[in-house]
Amino acid sequence: MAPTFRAGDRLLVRSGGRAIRPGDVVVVAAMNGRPEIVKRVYSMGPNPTRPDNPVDVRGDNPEHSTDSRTFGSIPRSSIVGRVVRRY
Amino acid sequence: MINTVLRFIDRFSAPTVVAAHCDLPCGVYDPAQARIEAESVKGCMEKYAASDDHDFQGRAIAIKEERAEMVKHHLWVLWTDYFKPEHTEAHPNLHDLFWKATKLAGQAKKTTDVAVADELLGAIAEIDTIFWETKK
Repeated sequence: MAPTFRAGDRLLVRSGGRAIRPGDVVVVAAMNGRPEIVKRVYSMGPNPTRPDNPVDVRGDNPEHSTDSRTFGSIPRSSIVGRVVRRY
Repeated sequence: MINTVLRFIDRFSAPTVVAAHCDLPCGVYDPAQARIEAESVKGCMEKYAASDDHDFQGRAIAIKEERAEMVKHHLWVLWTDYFKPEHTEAHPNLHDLFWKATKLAGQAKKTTDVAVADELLGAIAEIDTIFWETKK
């Protein structure tokens, strides 16, 4: 997620709160052998409140990011929360 | 202020670690990739020497240079992505070794001298030894 975040940064993540929207930085739950990851929401399906709404997530450092370009969209329900602060 | 409080809380409740550019698909490293390309470089040199067909020789040179570039690429990936500061502490010659190996890959582009390819293979073998030591 360079240049936004660097390894070792501490992030405050909020689950719940307002609906996720494109541009938000989110934590995505581990799945399919992938660890828990932090990515930015790139685009979303038409039903933001549905758990199965597809969300396309991308890294801020595209050349070195494994994201929806590789593993496809993720269901909204796999988003753990939104990054609200770095400390 | 809030940051101080958050850091204080972290002392009692450690934060979860999440990955940012999950290295998962790229977590597989092996100097064999560089070695195989270097063997191709050597093979092209030998084919070049054994042929008297100008067109074939031209191809052999072109492919040799392409493969030599791949050697550099794979070495760079190992050097910059796989090896960590603690590895260079344990193996202080690591940087020199990569410098030497990538230089040899560059030289292999300019020559059809098999000895250069052998030197290159030797340098990769040294890196390979260190690599597998770090895996123990």
